[in-house]
Amino acid sequence: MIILLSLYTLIIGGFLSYVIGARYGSKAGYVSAGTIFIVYILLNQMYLASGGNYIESLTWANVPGLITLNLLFRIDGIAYAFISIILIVTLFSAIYSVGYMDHAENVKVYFLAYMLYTAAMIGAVASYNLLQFFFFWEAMLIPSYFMIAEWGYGDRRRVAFKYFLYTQLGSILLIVAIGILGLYTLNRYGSISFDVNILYTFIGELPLNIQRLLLILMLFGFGVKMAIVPLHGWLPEAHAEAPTPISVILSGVMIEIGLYGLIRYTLPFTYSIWSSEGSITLLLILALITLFYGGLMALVQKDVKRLLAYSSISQMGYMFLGLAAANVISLEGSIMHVYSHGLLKALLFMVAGVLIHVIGIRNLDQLGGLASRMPITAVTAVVGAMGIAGLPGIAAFISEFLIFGGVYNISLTNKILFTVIAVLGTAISAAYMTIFIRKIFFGRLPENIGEIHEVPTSMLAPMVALAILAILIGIYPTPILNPILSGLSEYFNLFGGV
Amino acid sequence: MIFINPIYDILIFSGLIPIITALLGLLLGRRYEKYLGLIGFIGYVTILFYLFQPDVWSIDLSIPLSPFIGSSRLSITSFTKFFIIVFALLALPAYLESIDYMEEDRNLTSYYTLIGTMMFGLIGLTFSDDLFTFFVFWEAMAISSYVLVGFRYHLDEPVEAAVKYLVISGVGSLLLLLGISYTYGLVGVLTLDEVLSFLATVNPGNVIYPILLISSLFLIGFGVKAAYFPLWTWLPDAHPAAPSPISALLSGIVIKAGILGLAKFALPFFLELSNIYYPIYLVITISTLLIANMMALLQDDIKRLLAFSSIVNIGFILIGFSIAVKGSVDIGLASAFSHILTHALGKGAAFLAVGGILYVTHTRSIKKLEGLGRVYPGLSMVLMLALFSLGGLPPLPGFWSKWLLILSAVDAGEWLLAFLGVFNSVLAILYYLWLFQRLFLSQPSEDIKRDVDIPPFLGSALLIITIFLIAFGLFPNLIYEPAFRAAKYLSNLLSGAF
Repeated sequence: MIILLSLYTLIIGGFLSYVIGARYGSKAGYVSAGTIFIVYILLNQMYLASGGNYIESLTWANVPGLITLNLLFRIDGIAYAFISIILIVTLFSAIYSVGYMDHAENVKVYFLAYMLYTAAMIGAVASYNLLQFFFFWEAMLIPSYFMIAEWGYGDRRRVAFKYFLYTQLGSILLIVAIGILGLYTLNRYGSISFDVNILYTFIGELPLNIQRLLLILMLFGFGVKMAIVPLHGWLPEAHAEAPTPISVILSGVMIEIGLYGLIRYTLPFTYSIWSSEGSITLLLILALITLFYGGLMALVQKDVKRLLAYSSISQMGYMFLGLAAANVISLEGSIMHVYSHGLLKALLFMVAGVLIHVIGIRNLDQLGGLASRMPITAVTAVVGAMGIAGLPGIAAFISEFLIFGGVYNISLTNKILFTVIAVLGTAISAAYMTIFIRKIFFGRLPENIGEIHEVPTSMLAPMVALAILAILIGIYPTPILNPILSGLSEYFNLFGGV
Repeated sequence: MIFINPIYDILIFSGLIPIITALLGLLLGRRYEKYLGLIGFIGYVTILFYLFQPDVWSIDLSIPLSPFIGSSRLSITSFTKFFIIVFALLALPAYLESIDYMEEDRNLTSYYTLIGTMMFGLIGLTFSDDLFTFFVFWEAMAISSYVLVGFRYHLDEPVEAAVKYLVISGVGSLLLLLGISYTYGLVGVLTLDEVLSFLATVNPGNVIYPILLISSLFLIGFGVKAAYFPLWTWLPDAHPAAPSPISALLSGIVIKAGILGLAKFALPFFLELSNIYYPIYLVITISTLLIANMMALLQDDIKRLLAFSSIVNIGFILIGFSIAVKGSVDIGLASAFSHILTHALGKGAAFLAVGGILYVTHTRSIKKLEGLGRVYPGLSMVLMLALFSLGGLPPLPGFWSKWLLILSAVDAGEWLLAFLGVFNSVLAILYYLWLFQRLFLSQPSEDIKRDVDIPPFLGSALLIITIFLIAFGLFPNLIYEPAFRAAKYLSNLLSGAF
């Protein structure tokens, strides 16, 4: 019952923040952060105590001959990596919100929505029942939609609605795919079921055309959330116009849940199609297009947050590249990249938020020379930027290295070409990240920026903490790599991949 | 605790409700007669509790009505229980809301007596095991509903709508009676089991024309009440014109009486000529879904919108019914019955919420209701919850039944129906989202009075129906189990005969 308890704790923490927020305004963020911290400790301990495979199950609906649904949760190594990065990012983003949202209206509702959003993400990753996963998946959408529409910038209502439409259209394709799997259980076991352990009995038995259909449906369904080009239309606007703590979560962890969906629910069922030469080439090309498109678009952006948003698309390209290659090394790299990209992108969005909060300018051309005024922010920003650029010693280096190794590991004639092109992509990352740092922190300080100082500690502390974590993981990645590896070895045994 | 036997107990009890209402109304006088609604409320709470006693719940009984009236039979089965639950669940909040909603009307004694009679007719329908008894209760229900639509006889709109309803529905009843008399001519008795055994033994080639005639008469006679294409013309006038609690009852359960009749008495005839009636129902279903949905989107009057949405949902129920006509009685009826239950809850909640909105704003125009959510958040939330359930957003009840309908369509190989189901749900959800934006995100219009308190009975009616919506959404067993048992009962009956 620990996962269910954690979800309840998060929701109750949300209502607690609401009550506190009504009296003390944005200080309620500390309550939210405290709740998330407790849940983090709880889930972490539970995962370690269970030896890497924790399951809980409750009967949800059971009508013999029609439907058998269990409320199933499972945390294995893969889910653990996702859950810990979700909780770390939301924890620091909640603390960051205390300073960032201090003048916003209706902060109490903001923190309630924030906690519901967190709970939905944890629920989605921990679910081991496809329909239940879908419910949490949908539940992620509603609070994030509201937070963009209410506390965002610019044309926020339209942007939020666009985000909603894109994601919802993806969801429809997903539910069709889920229905197809459900009908298979009806035909074999005499009642509809979506428990993943039952669905996994179909691995390798689905006809090829059904596999192809499932692959297409789920690739589109999850691909919208992952912002794979050409399904990325919603992302640059939504991530740029969302309130910064929400951009942090959107870019840092939420879009990666699409990747989780593909890992858990698509690859096992469609492995024989996926690993055929034609599909794997197509998927690799799709990933490379996403990688280069995002990177090149980021190069020419003037808006700080739009640059970071396009950079997220590019980084999703890396993760998708690792998944497309579909072997242990590349997938390990992908999931590790979720973790390191989560830390680094959260950090960079927080830096962008500092600019918006303190100076109110988002245009790169109107900024400059801030390193002298905000030394701590500048140092953390450099850590984040160099991390994304792939500098050794910071988290993302290891994950990108693993992804490239994995791509080289597939049995394809053109694998060297793919690996070389992918490695070239890091040059673009380095280029736009250098532009980002140079234009904001170095050069001449514009005259219209008057007296500015460092932001309050509540905003600075999360950034420093994330920077330190990124460096620690960069030097000593074992605590994350080991669970992922143990999860993956079991995962690949399911369908006989390598 | 069983008094005489469950059939007589429930029938007598629900028959006593209008009688006691009428007698008490004479005693109470003008000032207190509005509280007569409580009698019906308490009565149906009692019936629900009585029904859920273990010894009543498990009983399966069929008795002759009386030694005098030919072959009349009454029976209590899982089919009966399912429909009593649906009818009683919606009667509770409708009675409660009437107390506040109708307080300024006159002749409330007759109002409550008429509701009581209509409910008595509906309850009687569920017990009837032969066409004669069925028709008697059918008319009791129909006639009181004509009067209830035109209850505010000093206004033009209700009277016009009531006359239209009376004429069209009267013709429908007449055709139904004609069908019943032909059945009598063909079979010699009217009880269901005799009809079934006749159909089982007879050589279809010999009686093809009588059966064709009878089933066509049933298709029209029941179809007028169920309001599917092209027999729906009375509904968009009658349902908006009635007082809101009556609209809730009409849209929520009275039109379902048509489906009840179709499933119990007409389905055997349709199955006999499945190859003729399946295409007919396919056309009816598709036209109902598409045309009514287009019409719904064009309305500015919110009650008219809901009335058209009722027709759309009849179309959804017909997806399941068409599949039953095709031959998969089991899963087809199970999905149709689930949708009967969830649509009753969703549409009931929607009309009751609109009743509350009418109470505070006195307008039905969506244009004038913009921004309502900012002034009356509770009322608008109930409306949106109901609409989202009707659209099929998880985890509300509507999702579970639409989902099953679409699955059963795919299971029967009817991809067109499945696609139409998905398409119409998506259309509805998009439309409801747009409505949501208008209600919640626009600035409140001048027409909305800001200082009206929600009266207690109206508020508690909305609270009750909201609790139902959430409970049935979170625990799908509450929907699936009774619906599946009812469908199973009918399919067993039919498979015994064929």
